[in-house]
Amino acid sequence: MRALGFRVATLTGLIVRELLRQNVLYLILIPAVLTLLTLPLFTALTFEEQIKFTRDFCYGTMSIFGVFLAIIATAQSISNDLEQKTIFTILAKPIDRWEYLFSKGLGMSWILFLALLILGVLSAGLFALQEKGLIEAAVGNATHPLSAQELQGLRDQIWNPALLMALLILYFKLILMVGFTILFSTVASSSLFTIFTSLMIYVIGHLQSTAREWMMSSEGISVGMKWGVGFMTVILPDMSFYEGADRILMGASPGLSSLIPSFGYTFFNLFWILGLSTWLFESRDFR
Amino acid sequence: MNLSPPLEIQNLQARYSLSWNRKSVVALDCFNLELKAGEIFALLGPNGSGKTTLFKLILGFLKPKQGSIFIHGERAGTRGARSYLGYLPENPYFPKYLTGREILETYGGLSGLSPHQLRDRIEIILELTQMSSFAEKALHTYSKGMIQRVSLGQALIHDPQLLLFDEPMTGLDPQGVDGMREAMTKIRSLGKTILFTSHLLEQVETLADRVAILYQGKKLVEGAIETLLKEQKSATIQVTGLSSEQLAGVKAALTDFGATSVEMTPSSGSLEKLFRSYTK
Amino acid sequence: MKRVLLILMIVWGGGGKLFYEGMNLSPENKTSLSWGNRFEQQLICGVLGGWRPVVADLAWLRVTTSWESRQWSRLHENIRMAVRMQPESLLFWDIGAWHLAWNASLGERNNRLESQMEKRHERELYWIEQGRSLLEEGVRYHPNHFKIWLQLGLLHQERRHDFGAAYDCFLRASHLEGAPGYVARLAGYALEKQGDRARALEYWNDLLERSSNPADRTLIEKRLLKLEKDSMISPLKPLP
Repeated sequence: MRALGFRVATLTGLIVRELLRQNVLYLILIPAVLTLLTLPLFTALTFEEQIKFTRDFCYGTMSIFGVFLAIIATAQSISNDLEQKTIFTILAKPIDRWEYLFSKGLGMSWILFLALLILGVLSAGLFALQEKGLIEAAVGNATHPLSAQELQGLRDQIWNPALLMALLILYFKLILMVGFTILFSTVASSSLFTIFTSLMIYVIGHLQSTAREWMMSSEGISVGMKWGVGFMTVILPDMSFYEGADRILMGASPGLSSLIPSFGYTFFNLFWILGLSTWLFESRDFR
Repeated sequence: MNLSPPLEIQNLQARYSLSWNRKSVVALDCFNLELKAGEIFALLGPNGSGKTTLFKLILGFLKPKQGSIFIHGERAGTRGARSYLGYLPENPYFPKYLTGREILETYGGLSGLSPHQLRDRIEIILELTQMSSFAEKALHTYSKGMIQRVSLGQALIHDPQLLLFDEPMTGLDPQGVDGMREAMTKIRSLGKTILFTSHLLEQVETLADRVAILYQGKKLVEGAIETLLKEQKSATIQVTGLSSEQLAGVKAALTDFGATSVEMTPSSGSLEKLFRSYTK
Repeated sequence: MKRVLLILMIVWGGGGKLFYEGMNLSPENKTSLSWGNRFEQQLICGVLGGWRPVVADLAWLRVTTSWESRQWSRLHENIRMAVRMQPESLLFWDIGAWHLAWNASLGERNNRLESQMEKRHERELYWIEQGRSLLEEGVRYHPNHFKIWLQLGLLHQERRHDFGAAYDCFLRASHLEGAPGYVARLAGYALEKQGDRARALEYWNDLLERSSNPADRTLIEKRLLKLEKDSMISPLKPLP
């Protein structure tokens, strides 16, 4: 058991080191940081609109670059091992193939945590700048000065603690995408195929819940169609589990229990994904 | 102490399909082999004869169509079997962004060694492979010889009993070849078994205890080098001071005596002859 | 053994996935939308990912600049774009309808470049109807949010002078969570403006009975007294 821990820790460290020393992480992270830094260029009319825009912009940047990072870095990491044949020296060691896949996922979840932390801290800095601007504007506005209560209301909107929950939900979503990317990597022969398929799954996953409801509630759908949609919904992820983050962005402040659906859904999905990925990876020959 | 043979292969058959027409090609057929503990065994064969396929089968990268492979009594492909194996690939397949020491740390960790065990082990390996002077440099700055030493180091890091060396001397300069030969001899003296492939027949002759020749997936011959060489119904006649016409006369005379083939090329070693005689 | 373990993992994890999905069926605020609308929304979510709200916000920035430059068609286009990208945002429906039914329509009414008053009036009505249509679509996305019903009620009352429709909207808004007390009173005023004093009286009496807030009760009582004074009918007895 101890040896297993050392093996997994080593492989996890290897992927983290790989991403930190190679360009993939920076190629994705630097544009994300630059995008965030363009935020002050956008100005809106009302305080409420400004707050919404800043929040959406920061979250949107984290979300989109997070998805790219989760998919591209995972696909690259595994396909690099296959293409550069590092996999031969790794799997020649007494390491199980599930340990290899699991460690890749674990390493990616560290990288994503790090990336979200960096972008989150940067976003907090932008929020602080915005707060400062709001106070200055409120103090400087002689005709309609904001009351202390109104100002506090705006501050509460900027520093809504539920935004951390939105980040956590985003993190779960990204980890799910890492899982699916690993699954495709186990059968793919090129990283391009893996990246493309994972992105498709991400897009189609957003339609899953509606497709499922349509299949279950509509009449007059052919049996073949029902089976087809049914099969798709069994395989595909349902991204609507992560819509809680959108509601938080719209100003909602749900309790911690609202994290349960997204966490539980991610957890169960990762379980079957790891099982299936291991099955496929074990059956794979390395020539 | 595990008393099972380091490697036991019985009736092994491996096939692979060509992706463009799904035709199945036999890579290895009816292959049997048993290694003795502490010996150096060389696998000879032209390109495509099935040497690398055999290594991949032993390591569990490929699954055999039929037959069995056991490493110290453990079925090939299992984690237990791989814990007895050290693999030195023909081309170095390592993350290039790591330093030599980091490679050893990484591959030691992958073998389940604790940081404490690793510290001691790395020092031993650095000395054995003589890589202390460049261990802190990144891999992409290494020469072929340095990479080969790192490769040897990672293969030995978890103190395996059976070592698989795929073309360990290919691409090395004479000094590198000597260093590798020295290291292999030292490893054997530690009681380890080595199975290796090589094209450098002179080196094989001086290093290996036993050899097998593979050709088109089949083992043609196997045995101790000395025994095999004695079995050859051939002799080397060294001739000096004859013109080409006179040499042609000698060749004709030998043929008249009943020789089936006469080679007039300068001799480059009898193992090479043996090899050529089986694979031509 | 390993295979069995893997099958168990797949079955257990997959079962958990399907169980969760079964529980996630039919979020109530989506059920009033057509399948087409829902697929469209989910597709936008998928394709734009996290950028969807940002694209909506950028469209909204253009709404503001269009308003400043009085380009009403461009304003309308960008409002539509914003709500399509992020229909969850109440702000877009609410302020968007205000821009159309108030700013754009009044802008057309006061458009000195148009000499024909009839045409100005026609354009004014056009933008009011666009505002109404926007809010009617908005309530399909937010059927349980009082703000959007309130805004629709105000539009019917202030811009269309359809007090019956305004009453319906205010009444609906007043029953929704978070609606302040004045929303219920707006329904009463709408009935009064419609001229239906009997119903108004009945409504105010009913509201008085339901109200527990002393401040609200005082206001309702004052209203009842005023009605009584205006019509000389006892507020305690509803009109036949």
